[in-house]
Amino acid sequence: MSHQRFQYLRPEDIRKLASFEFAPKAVVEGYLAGRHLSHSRGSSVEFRDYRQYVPGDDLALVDWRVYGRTDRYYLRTYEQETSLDCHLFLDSSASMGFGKGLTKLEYASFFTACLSYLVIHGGDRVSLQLFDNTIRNFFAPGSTGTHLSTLLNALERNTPGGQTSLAESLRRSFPLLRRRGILIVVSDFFDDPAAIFAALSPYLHRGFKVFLYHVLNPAEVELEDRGLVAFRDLETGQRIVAHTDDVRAGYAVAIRKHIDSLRDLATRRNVDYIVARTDTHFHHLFERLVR
Amino acid sequence: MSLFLSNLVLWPLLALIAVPVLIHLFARARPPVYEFSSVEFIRRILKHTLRVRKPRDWLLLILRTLAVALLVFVFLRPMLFAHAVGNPFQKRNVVVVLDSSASMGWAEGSQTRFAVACAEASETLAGLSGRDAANVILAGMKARPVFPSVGPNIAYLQGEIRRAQVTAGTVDPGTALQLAVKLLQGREGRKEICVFSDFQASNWRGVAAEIPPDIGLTCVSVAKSDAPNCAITRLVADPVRPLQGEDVTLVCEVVNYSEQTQRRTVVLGVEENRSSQETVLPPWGRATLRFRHRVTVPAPFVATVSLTDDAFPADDRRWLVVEPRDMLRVGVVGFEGGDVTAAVWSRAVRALGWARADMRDAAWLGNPSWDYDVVMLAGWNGDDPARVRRFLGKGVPVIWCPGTNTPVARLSGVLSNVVSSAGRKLEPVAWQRQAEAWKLNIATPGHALFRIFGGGEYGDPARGVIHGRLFMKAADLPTGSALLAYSDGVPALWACEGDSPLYVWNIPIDKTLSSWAAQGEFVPFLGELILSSRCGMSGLARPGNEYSPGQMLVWRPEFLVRVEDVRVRFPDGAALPAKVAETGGGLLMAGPAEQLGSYAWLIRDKVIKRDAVNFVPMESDLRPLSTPEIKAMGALVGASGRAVREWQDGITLWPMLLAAGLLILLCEGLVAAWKRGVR
Repeated sequence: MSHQRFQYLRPEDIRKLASFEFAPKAVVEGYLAGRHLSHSRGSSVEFRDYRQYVPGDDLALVDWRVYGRTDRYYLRTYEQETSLDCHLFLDSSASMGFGKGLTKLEYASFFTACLSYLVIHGGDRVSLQLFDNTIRNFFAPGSTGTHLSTLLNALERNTPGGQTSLAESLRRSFPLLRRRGILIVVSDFFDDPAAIFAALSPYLHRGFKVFLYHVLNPAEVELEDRGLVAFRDLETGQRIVAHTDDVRAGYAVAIRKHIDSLRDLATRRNVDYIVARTDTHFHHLFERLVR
Repeated sequence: MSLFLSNLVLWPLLALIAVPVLIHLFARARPPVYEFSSVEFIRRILKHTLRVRKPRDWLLLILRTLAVALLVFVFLRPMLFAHAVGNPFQKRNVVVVLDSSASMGWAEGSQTRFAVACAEASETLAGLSGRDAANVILAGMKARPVFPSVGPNIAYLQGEIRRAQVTAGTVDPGTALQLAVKLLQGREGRKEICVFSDFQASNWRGVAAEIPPDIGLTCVSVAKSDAPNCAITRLVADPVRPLQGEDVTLVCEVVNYSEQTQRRTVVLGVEENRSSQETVLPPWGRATLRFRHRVTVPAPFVATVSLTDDAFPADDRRWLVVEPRDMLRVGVVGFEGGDVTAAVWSRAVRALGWARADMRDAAWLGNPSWDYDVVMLAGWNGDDPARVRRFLGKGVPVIWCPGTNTPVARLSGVLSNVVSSAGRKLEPVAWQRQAEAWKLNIATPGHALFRIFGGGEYGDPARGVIHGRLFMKAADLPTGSALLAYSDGVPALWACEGDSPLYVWNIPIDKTLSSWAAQGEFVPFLGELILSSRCGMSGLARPGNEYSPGQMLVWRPEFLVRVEDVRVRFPDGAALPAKVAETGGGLLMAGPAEQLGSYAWLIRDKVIKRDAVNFVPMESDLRPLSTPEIKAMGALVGASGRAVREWQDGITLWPMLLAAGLLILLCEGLVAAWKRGVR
């Protein structure tokens, strides 16, 4: 499979990813036998635990040896290696177009492309959803090279669009995901943190392992000294005239408060939250996802 | 508003006030666009600070607008305060009134007020252009214009100002302003009068400047403070014309025009004699010093009095020419019914030896000679009292024996001119006669009149019997006291109080009615009455030989002289010829006498007469008018000639623009600093 023709998957990235193995710590349920642990019982499985018999259980699973020793009915349970579904949510709102040279969307697209490659290369399935205030594109999970090409082409065609509404997109996407797995959201999270986590609750309840990648340009963390400027919102077009000296300190406090709020909620809900600054290489973002 | 309606060129200046508003608006719309991912956080921050930021913007706008309005005001200042003298681009006619009165000689610091006024006036003239015209009035003893009309030769006027000097006289502000108005009348273009003076309150207060509305009046006061000063304001002799051998009292008055108590030494010089007295003057107070001098020869002499250690020397010396008499001159006027009394008086005066009685008729009162020491009126009924009051006003004592037809009201009306209309008071004073004689009493024994009778050497002046008299009451007479009175209290000789040396004589001296005139005491009594009546009257009138600076000296010779032989020697030693007065009447005149001091009339180098020119006391009070009082004259008050020039010419713009710019920057900097402090 040749990858030179793709914008967001470069040969040097492939060489770098060759040493990685996608292995997030998450419980999955898959159709194919694979490297990932599943609570589903399988035929060629490793012993996991004993469980007391309850009416309705298959009698074939009763361990008669244990019954002979203890005079009690216990079932043997096994862990089955299975394939993993990785669901990638890429924010494609207009705000992701911010950045001089490398926009946040381009940065996120590099990460998404490499992650897709890594997942498929590991024999797992990956889905991709591009959204802004609605779902623009949804690519159902797949694990073939063709599927990867489809995803990479979609990323290349993708451009920053309308306003961000992550919570709404998450709510709409939930019915599309039939199997639980890994949910990776790449966004700038310009939305209400409480609303975001409210939308994530169904996923968490169903057993998804959620990773939130918060993409930020350094100029968003600390305002540049531009003097008196008319700030124009990339999503709404709203203009506000202010002197950067006047608002820099207040802005730094506000963005820090927003990040802290997201991190706090993520910790409480057992969600991984990673700040992805565009001035750091996206390879660092794989630390939580590979082994 | 009419200023703007009549001068369309001013509207663009007013439009300048809109500049800050435009700057404010453009400044708000100009910042570059910065496309940012989300302005939500910035919006929240600004929402918190909006209440602070908005007023700050308005404050900046107000400051800028005020600064520009101030600039416009400064530019328009000459026109706003120029009394609507017309278009500023017209030709200008300026008359500078330069006060050169004596008070301008006061030194404020290193310069006199006059030097400062000259510099300011010259500065004002320097602001005129080549097409403008000007004139200068030197307002000293007499207001004198340099040119007969307003002319273009500014340099010559400045030269005249440089050569001008302070005079010893006083200025007549009204006359000077009228002359200035007269010079400007009929001229085309803007007309302005600029007065440079100390605006001495004693001189300028109450001056009603009748300036036509098309002439602007600008006043520049060069007086910076109330100058503390002490002055000799009066020097008189008492009696004014002493007899040879008589003691004369030289009365000197010293005034303190300051808020501090002053100690001064006053020195009197009479020929070779010197004497001095020290006095303490309370704040704004005065002291009267008396020096006694015996007249030994009947020749005029000059008494000089001087004050030591004073900052304003012009008024620290005073001269008095005393002309002693060898004989007193008594004018005796007999009216109808008073001829006998007049004759007796005349004989008695002649008997004194040191007095000469001149018998005059009633018509003489209408055109009298003032060279009399005492006037005696016999039988006058008080008719036309103004004629008599003229004598009293000049300090000439009048001894009046009322006629029997004198109305009661005239007795007091001779001084007050108030005649009661009550019926009884228009009736004549009642004449009383009785066989039983009335006796006289001395009512005021301590009076100087009776001093020589105290030892009994000259008898008793109240001795004798009297069978007739006028029944007059003290209430019917002018305020005064009785020197002699009848035993029933009716006044026999009444002395009026105050400044009027009037004596009412109610003693018949006809031998059919009285034995009084036939007694030996009568002549000494009359002599003492004439002598004592002259004393204490020296302050009533200025001596005839005292002049104010700038006046012409006048002499009416009593003998035949050739005019070409007569010269007048001035205090500086120069002798100038006298000339015949145009008014005729044998008057000779010389002058004007501009120097203070003693002048001598000479005929072939022999001193015939002396005159004195003294400082005008009004000039000694150096306090100036306040600025509101000057403004009350309808004048624009300038701090200096430069200010007047700025009003007339406008000002150089660039320093003001620079200053305004710096001011705006400073204000904005302060506001920015305040903003950071608020944050």
